[in-house]
Amino acid sequence: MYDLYQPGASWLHRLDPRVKLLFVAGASATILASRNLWVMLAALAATHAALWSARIAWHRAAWVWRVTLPTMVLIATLWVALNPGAGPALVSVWFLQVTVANVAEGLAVALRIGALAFVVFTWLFSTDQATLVRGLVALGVPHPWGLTLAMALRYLPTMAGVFRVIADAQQARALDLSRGGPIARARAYLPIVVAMLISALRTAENLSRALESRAFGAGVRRTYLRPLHFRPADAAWAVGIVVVTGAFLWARVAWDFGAQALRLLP
Amino acid sequence: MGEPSIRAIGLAYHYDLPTHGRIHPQQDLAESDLPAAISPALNGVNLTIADNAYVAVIGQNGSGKTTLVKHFNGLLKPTAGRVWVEGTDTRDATVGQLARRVGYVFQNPDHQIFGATVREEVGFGPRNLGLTAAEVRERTDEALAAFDLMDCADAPPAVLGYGLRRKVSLAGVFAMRPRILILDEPTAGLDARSTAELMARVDALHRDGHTIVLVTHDMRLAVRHCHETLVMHEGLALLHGPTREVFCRAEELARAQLAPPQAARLARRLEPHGFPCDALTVDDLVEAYVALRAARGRE
Amino acid sequence: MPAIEIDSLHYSYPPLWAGAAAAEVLKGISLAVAPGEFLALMGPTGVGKSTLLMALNGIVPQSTGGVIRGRVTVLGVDARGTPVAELARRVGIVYQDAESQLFSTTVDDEVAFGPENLGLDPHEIAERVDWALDVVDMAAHRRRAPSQLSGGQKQRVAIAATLAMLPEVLILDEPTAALDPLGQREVLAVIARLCRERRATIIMASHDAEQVAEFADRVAVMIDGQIARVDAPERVFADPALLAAAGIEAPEVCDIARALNARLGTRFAFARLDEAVDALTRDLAGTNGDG
Repeated sequence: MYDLYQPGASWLHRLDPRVKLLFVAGASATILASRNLWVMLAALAATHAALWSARIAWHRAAWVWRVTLPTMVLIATLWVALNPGAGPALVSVWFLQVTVANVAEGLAVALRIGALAFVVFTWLFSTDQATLVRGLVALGVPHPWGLTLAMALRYLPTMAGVFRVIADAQQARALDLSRGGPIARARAYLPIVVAMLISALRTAENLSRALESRAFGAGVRRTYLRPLHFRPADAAWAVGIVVVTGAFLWARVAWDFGAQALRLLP
Repeated sequence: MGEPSIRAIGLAYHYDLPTHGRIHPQQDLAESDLPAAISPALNGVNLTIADNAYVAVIGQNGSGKTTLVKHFNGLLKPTAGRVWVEGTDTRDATVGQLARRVGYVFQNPDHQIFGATVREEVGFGPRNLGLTAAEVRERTDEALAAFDLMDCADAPPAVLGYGLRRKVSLAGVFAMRPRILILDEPTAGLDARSTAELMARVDALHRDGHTIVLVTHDMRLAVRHCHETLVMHEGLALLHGPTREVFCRAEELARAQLAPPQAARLARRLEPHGFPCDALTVDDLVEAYVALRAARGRE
Repeated sequence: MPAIEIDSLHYSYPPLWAGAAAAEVLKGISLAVAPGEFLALMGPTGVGKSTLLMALNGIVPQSTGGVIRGRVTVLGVDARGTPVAELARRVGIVYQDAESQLFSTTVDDEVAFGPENLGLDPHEIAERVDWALDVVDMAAHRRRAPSQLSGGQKQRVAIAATLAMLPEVLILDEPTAALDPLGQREVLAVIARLCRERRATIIMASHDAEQVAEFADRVAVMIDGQIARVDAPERVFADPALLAAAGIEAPEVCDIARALNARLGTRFAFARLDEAVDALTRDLAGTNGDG
């Protein structure tokens, strides 16, 4: 579950991580600035097309849908229920006014979640953790911060594993994790959490020694085994992303482009 | 002396393929998604461990030995086959219920230690069993005395040295007075003296009637202390029998990637000269050599 | 000139809580290690082996704090005064727990981490990574995630990551303690190869007397914060009083040699399995009983 990255050699994989970050930023801005159903669908279509052409396995996309669907359904339903829309009603029950307008709006707002999720996961599915952090550092994030992020990602599965082992070990001492209300259960987890914290602290101490023993913080300008190369293709994509995002945001501000659910231009 | 401590018939166990928490058909998975071992962790194990047995369980990492012993206290339930602990099918009991009868000391004491004082730590198990305060105190004192921890009873266990933390985790399980004790690598990382002290204690527990299951990489422990040995390899019980006989089976041990202790290996190398195959310890070897030399001297 | 020279080293860690007494861990250590030597360090758990080893690359006292007295000179440089990152160019330590030493997401990134910190040219980094992975026989796994490796593989990667710094002194703190037999064999094969190539001075802390007998030129026995004896393995393992005081168990063949000498009046002195086989075979064949 923590292994979001799927190895590959597609154009998407080879795209410079800085460009991908730019895409995430630009696409998120576009999606958040818009309330248009077609914009959301376009974003979803584009990301799915990218995932398909990069040969990212379908079950990953399916997983994102599974995770976001409940929230999206909830949002759409609440939106329709609480926002009487303009225009003729399709269904009219008690206070519920279902119109084409508010259904479209509800869908658009709900699909925002999915669209944002797919933008982020397209980036995460196609970028390995090392390159991801390298991209951040290349954009100016200090290396120790980038390293901290990389290590946190790397140790997440390890800590999850330690959690499971500790839970087993404490249960073997007759700790009961299944009884009682939420407060009693939370207290029951205390021995596990404390042991985990201690374990994490020990690991952290060992880690800091290992880092120092390998000249971390040597005061020299750090180099990289696989330096990032900004290729012409990367430049082209970067320019494209900036132009499209810029155009959209300007149109949004100037002409309210994409502000309404169904009509692109009011 | 009737009921065996542990019985297993046809015991098999499969770990789920861990892809996003779901099992997916093989063709969907990229190379990197496939876990290291697709074959079942346990592939049909039949075994009986008698009451008051002293068994060593040896095998490579990945042979299934840890998976096997986790079935003995219900941490894992079989995906096929059955396991009975003192007559109870483990599928019918929770880990908590089995913990009264089976104590499991984990390999890393830091996976169990969380208490503010050693006394509190050791008392954790008895408290979970629902005993009265007086009983908890009595058992805690008994365990502290048994493992020589009275001096540091009020110290926080997390800051003690490794050898002491090892004893604390042992005492914590011992305080629950389980009849069956599973010890996972109890001497890993300990020096020779601490190892000897600890194993003396384990021997004493065995003499008091406990059933001991000792999972270890240290062949010397198996040879010097355990009456029987179980060799795990690729999810199956490859060998199970009296320790001396098991360590005679050189080919199977080699197949399981295991090597007997140095004295036994020396005996093996000197076999052409007439060394018996079950010379396993230093004493065995010395006796055998003296006898051999004497016999040669007469020739 | 010795590769390492320690003179009357005293050290205590900072006390755990304010006001508590600081317990002295190293109580006057004096030791010299020749260049290219393989020195084993043995002693009871908690006697201060790891502390002594960390004094050699400056982590003690620069990162651990505490109170230190005495001199530690490594490759002509004062370890107490030189920054750890600077010492890391010459002294490499491989710790016992591989899991908390491998923090990158792929093996080759891990091995490259040290050279990257030194600001080397990417070509040189790549060369060092290739070489180090070859020495530990992990070249086939270079793109794998360390968390997916076996214990022996992890420890080998940790060794490669340290070797990539091209240290003149290599320190191994109980490298096989946490490993299964196969993992131990893998790591020991790497150590044997490093020994044969004889480039670095190697210091290894270990509880395993068989390993020590196999590789070490000399053994330093630590008791109660001091070096009780430094001598060849055969002589150390033939001294029962010393072993008992230090809580060390000799290799079984040494106990066999001693027992046979007592019983038969022979003068066996082997400490390794191969030597034992040779000596006993010759003895049985009727030649002189001196091993």
